[in-house]
Amino acid sequence: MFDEKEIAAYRNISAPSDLRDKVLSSCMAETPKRNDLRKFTRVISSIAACLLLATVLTTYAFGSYGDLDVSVSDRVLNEESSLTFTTQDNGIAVAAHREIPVTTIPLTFDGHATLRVSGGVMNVIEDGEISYIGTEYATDGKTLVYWTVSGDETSQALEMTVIGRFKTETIILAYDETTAAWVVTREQAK
Amino acid sequence: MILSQDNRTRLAAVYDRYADMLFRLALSHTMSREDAEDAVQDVFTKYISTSPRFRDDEHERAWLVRVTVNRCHDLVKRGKIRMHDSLEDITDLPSEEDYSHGVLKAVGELPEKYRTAIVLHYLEGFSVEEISGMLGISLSAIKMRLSRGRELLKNSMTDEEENDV
Repeated sequence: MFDEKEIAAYRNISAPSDLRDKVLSSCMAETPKRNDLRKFTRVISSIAACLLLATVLTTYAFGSYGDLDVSVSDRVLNEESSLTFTTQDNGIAVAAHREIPVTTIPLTFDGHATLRVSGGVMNVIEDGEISYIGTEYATDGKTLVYWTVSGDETSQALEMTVIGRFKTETIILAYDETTAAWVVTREQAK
Repeated sequence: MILSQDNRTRLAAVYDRYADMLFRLALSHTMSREDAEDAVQDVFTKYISTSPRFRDDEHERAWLVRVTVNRCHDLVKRGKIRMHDSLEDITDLPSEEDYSHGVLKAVGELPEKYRTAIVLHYLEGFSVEEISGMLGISLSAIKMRLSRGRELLKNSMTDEEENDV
């Protein structure tokens, strides 16, 4: 192939003497900047990814894809809590029936859930009109539901089962004769 | 940020160890001392900027060779090589009297993939296995390239001798 002289001559070729200084100085002068830029870009990318993840998780956990927000007549009904409701609280209701008034409880749900009532009937309002009447309804986003209970049904507590994405809760409606008010309780399903 | 003394020392040591070989390799691809210098400089810049971790010296050498070949390939591909009309016009190569001129001229006429294998094996003295590891190509492919490269070189040399006569 090649004789020894040719190979030796070839191997005698060496890099120019000034190239060493050029390489060392250019690496000192330029490369760290690239390194810094690369690190900076990496950090920024990481932060952006974290923020995106946090946003998604927050939305998922607290937004319409996460826990359900429930309010009764514009008052927030927190988990594992109760509030009272009288017919005076209800602007749209209500006529008296026997000694216990027929009541419509305005419940607002914000989130995705399936609602199922053990008594009474749900009237779902959309754009000011009743869009659904029945005992089982799947909410999608913010939904106003009037839970109408007749006097006959209020001798015992009524339940609305709320089947959310992550958990199932129960909204219990009970009439307290001593205060003449409805007690609405939200608790984890048993 | 400035290169630490350790990094500078490390870079200098790696340079002293491999720069000549990488320069020759680059020269065999670019046929221009200036382009070869640029390629080698780029390789060491990349060496520092990426700070690759190596298992051993062989791994480090393989990385440097591969990056050099790739860099030369890029230069050629992007037309950034200082073009010469013919090899005869190359004035910055070693002188005509120097045997190396003939060697470079011969390998310079080979297609790139054969050239790299021929230079690394016959001129730099690496084994087929080493070249296979350096270029990430199978042993059989390296052997084939060497065989084909040899054949092309012989034909080229025969043609030249006939032209001389």
